[in-house]
Amino acid sequence: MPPSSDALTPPQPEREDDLRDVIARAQRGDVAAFNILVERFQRVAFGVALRVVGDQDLAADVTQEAILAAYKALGRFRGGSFRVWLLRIVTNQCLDALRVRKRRPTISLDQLVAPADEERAGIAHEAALIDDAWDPVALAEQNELRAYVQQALLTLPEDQRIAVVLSDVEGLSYEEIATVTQTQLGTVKSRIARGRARLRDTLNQRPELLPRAYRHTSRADPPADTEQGTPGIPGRT
Amino acid sequence: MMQQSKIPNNSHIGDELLSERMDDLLAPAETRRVDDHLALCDECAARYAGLQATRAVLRSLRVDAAPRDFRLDIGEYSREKVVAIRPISRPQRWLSVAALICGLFLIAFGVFGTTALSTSNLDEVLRAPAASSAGGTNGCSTCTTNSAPQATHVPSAGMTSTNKTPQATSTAKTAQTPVPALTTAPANNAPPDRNFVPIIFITLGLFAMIAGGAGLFYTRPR
Repeated sequence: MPPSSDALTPPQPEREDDLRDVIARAQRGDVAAFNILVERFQRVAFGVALRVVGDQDLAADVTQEAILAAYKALGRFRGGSFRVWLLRIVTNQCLDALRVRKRRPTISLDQLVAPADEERAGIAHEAALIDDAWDPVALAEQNELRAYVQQALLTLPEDQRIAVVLSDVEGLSYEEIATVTQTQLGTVKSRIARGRARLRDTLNQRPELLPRAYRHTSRADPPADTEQGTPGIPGRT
Repeated sequence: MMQQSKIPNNSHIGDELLSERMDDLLAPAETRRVDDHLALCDECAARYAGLQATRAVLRSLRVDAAPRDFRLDIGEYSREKVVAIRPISRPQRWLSVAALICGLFLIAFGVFGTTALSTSNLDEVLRAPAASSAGGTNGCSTCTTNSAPQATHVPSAGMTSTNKTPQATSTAKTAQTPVPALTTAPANNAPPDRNFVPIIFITLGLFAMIAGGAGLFYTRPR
């Protein structure tokens, strides 16, 4: 059975109702309470940083700096989603880090000798794109695909990259992305659409990396193993 | 009123519309129109499938866990936070206000006070000998004669009673004549050392105002 367009369940937005008291305590200077928030959101903060800057060590530094900045600026948090507020700080720190790196480009020795970031960072090895999660060949292909997509992400302009990462990697809503990036909803839609289209064009240059179910061909030349049609396209079953 | 469709007639659908369709952001009628078009148009269907594949691959980039713990060290940051959020205490605010007021007074005195003093007391003292020198005396209370020794008491710069500089000597030679410089000096032609007085006051006042203002408006470090 071919995967549907929602083969990978979109990440569910995290509920923050239980965090009001914790945030209030953290705002009064309770570091232990702030650490509860860090524990809850450090994954998403690091995830966004990693995909935006594309380097694990730099992403870890950016995350740490963002968390420290959030701690110092906690008095200015005026309610709403803490995750969105934190991601705003994280994306700003990412942009700062990228600006610095542009001025002083460096390649760390670790990058040259260490395994790919995906393997070091404990990245999700989700089985949704491959039929057998234990198939080493499929796993290797998936890692190659991830590395390729990450490289493609880095070719996007920063504003499109941030919008696409927040939307498609972390599953934020358009409204949340507008708050994080402090832009209009229409701008967010446009950035996401252009970013996705550019990534799609990049992926089309290496179609063999894509799972077979997503290698779309015309109706005149249907894929051999997808007799049921192209997955996820309305009206084509 | 019927809503205008975003799909152009006899042409393909744009990526933005396809992206919105994929995220279910379109109105039901628009969604139907896009779906109808995708069912018939291979090119748009391919682009749509590409977008779906891209999104699926991007979702697989989600990180499972942070590579390390980013929690703050409680001992270290508790102290920093306490210092950081402590508001400026009341005495410091009063000091700031007091510094502002002092600064204002100093500047006002520098501008008006020294001028008033110079035109009243100081110049009166300096004018006094001039007024009495009309009869041939220099008016100095310490002098008992009208002859040469008075030269040592002429309040001229660079001359004291014990230090006989060449300037003093030359003054002594011409001591028979009254000293016109003292009798005719107007208030605003004060000697250079007196011109510094208002400047000093104004400068001190400005410093006090800057310090007071900084203390008043710099409320809480972040």
